[in-house]
Amino acid sequence: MSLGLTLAILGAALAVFIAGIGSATGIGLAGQAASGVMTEDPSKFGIIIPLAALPGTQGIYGFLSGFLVILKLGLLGGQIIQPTVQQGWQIMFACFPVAFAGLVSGIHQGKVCASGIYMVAKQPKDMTKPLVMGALVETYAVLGLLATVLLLNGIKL
Amino acid sequence: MAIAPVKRMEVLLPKDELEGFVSYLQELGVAQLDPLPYEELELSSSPAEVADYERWLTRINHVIQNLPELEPKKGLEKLLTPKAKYSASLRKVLLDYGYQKVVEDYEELEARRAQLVQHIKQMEREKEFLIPLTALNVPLRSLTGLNRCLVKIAEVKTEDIESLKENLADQPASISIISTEKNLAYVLIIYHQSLREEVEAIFSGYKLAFISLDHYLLKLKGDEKVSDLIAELEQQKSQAKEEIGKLEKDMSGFAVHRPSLMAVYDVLLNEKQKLVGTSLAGLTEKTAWLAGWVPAAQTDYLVRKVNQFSPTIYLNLRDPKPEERDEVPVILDNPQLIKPFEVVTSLYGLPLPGGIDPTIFLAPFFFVFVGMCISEAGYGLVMSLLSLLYLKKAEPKGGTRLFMTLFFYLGISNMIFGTLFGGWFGFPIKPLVLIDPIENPIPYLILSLALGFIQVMLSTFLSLVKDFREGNKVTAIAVKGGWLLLLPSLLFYFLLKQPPVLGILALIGAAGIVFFSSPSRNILARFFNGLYALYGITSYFSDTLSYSRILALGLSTGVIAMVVNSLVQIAWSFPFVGWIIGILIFAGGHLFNLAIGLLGGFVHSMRLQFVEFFGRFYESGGKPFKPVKLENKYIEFIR
Repeated sequence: MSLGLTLAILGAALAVFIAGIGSATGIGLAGQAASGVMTEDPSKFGIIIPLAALPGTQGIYGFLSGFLVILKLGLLGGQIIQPTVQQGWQIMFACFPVAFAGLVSGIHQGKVCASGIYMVAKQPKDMTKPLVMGALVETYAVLGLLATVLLLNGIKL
Repeated sequence: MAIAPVKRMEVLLPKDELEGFVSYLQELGVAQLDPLPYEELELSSSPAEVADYERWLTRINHVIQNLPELEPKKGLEKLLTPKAKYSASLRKVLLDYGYQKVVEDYEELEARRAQLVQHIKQMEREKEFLIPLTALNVPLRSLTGLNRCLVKIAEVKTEDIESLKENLADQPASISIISTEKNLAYVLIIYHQSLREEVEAIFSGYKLAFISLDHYLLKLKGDEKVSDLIAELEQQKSQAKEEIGKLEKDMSGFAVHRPSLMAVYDVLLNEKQKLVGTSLAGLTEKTAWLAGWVPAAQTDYLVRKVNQFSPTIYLNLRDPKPEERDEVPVILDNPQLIKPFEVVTSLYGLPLPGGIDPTIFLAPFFFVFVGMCISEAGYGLVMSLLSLLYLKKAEPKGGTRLFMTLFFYLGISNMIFGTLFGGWFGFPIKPLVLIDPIENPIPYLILSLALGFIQVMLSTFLSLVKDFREGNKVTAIAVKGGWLLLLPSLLFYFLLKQPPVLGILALIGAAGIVFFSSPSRNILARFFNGLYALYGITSYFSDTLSYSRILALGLSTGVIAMVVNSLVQIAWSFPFVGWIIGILIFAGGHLFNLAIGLLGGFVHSMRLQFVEFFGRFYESGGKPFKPVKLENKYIEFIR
């Protein structure tokens, strides 16, 4: 396997697992809060679950970027494209925005959602407001994804 | 339009008609009642005595929650069953049902059951206590009433037994082990009364826990042994269980009362609400004064109905006075087609009375954005079908109805934009696809930003209207108009090979902003403050860029749908079971993607409205209109 291909695959792997760490930590935080609230009132499950699930999107964005790289390299069957070393570095760097924006925003979104869950516990009618708060944090993961997609799209193999 | 006009309602009526009138208002459901400044008007008021009703409501609710349904329905079927309908005029009749007796009888059975459950627990504890002593194969009676000897049963640590035995060996005492269990042993110790002190001194050297059987000794009938006691406990227990079974059968027999109790609950709930309404009246010796609000569109109806109801009621409807403006409740009034989007506005908060209702402006954008964010026609079809099914079957009312209708719309939006920019469950219909964001993200990004720019411009225009209405007419036109002129001119200036006309227009707009932004009289201060205001262009820039999320979110749903399908393809090639796994992955994967995509698409489209769109012009803080009406929890009242 050429170095170029290896670097590109490393990029895909970084995008998936670094953003995944962000989401896993975020959902971990929100999930703890959710379970805490549900020990008092299990009937809140339905309105809490969107808040606990919201920090999960970073992982999905990372996975999605990784998948785009896989598609680009033709790893899903058919002819595997052999990028040059430079193209390999390019693909790897293109994966950085989604990976690191996802890592940090996932953790912080988890915190915002956790406090949102405490808010919903006291005021179940206001459930969309914490969701919008969470979306404020998520913007930067979305922008990271956007940059990665545009960069990947710009790299011609 | 947009915010419906509201009239102030004032009613004078004889005191003895008050209760009937409030009850009638509940049936009409068009008027809101407000508290009055009683002391200022030298009126008395009566507090609502609702404690009695509340107690009954809790008791009835408890019975309803615990009774099984007559015809048990599961999950989806239960969700899709509409509430039972009752005529509103039957309310009084429903109260004659004798619910008190039913509830009391049920509670009695319940209390008896709780007692038996407690008793069984008690017996189980006793059994546990007696089981180690089963090996004591003598009648219990023989352990008491000895003339010279004392008999003790004790718990000893197994490791202490040998030394205890040794110590007791030279005393007139005997020790025998009844049973051992793990590291504890139960022992029977018999010793002579004359040496009691010596023997007990030896005991104190060990951690002995003496077990008293006095409780049983008192109840002995004959020569029972411990095993007989246990058998008796068992028998009592099974009797109690049998009785519980009978009680539970009796209790489930109460299920026939469930529908009626549900109706009674709602009637009582409204009786309570009526008292609350009545307590809002200001009272003199013989008359009552009620005040509140009625939507202007309903005034004729209300006047007609009140005249029919009683000739002795004086009803006055007038426009709100300026000093009452803050009290006026806000009712959004939009065409049927737009109405579901009021959900989005209400989530942020209703507009102030006299403000702008943003619903009609956000509706088309919200519709398009959700469609573009999810961009999956198959999911749209599922959403629309599910919400339609719910609307038709469960016949929801009020907020739920609006919300489900909104979902139905968003499903349609997805079918349209999913076909144009995505696919059906991950399979694009190639000839119908306008832009494929996976192959070609740039045009999709430009489309998202263009829509964003239009909405940002619309919000600027609405803020111009707002400023203009509030009186700063020149500033509104010069500054907000300046932005409206500057930004599009600047944009097209760079897009269209820099035609000078657009450059001049942009400069005129900029001049408006620079010279009118600051209210200062000092020309220099005015100029430099104006230059600083021009720096606000960054906020327009960042707001517009924020709409790029539409591309990212649209892409994510589409790609995940593709991933699901390629997994299905891989699974399909497994021998024999491939198709089952394939179908499972297809259903599960797409359901997951639908849930995540919908959450993201809905929340982010909402955020675009709340942050990017509302930021420039919208002020919330209006009070919602809350008419006195027939509330319902379990049933529905119809005319």
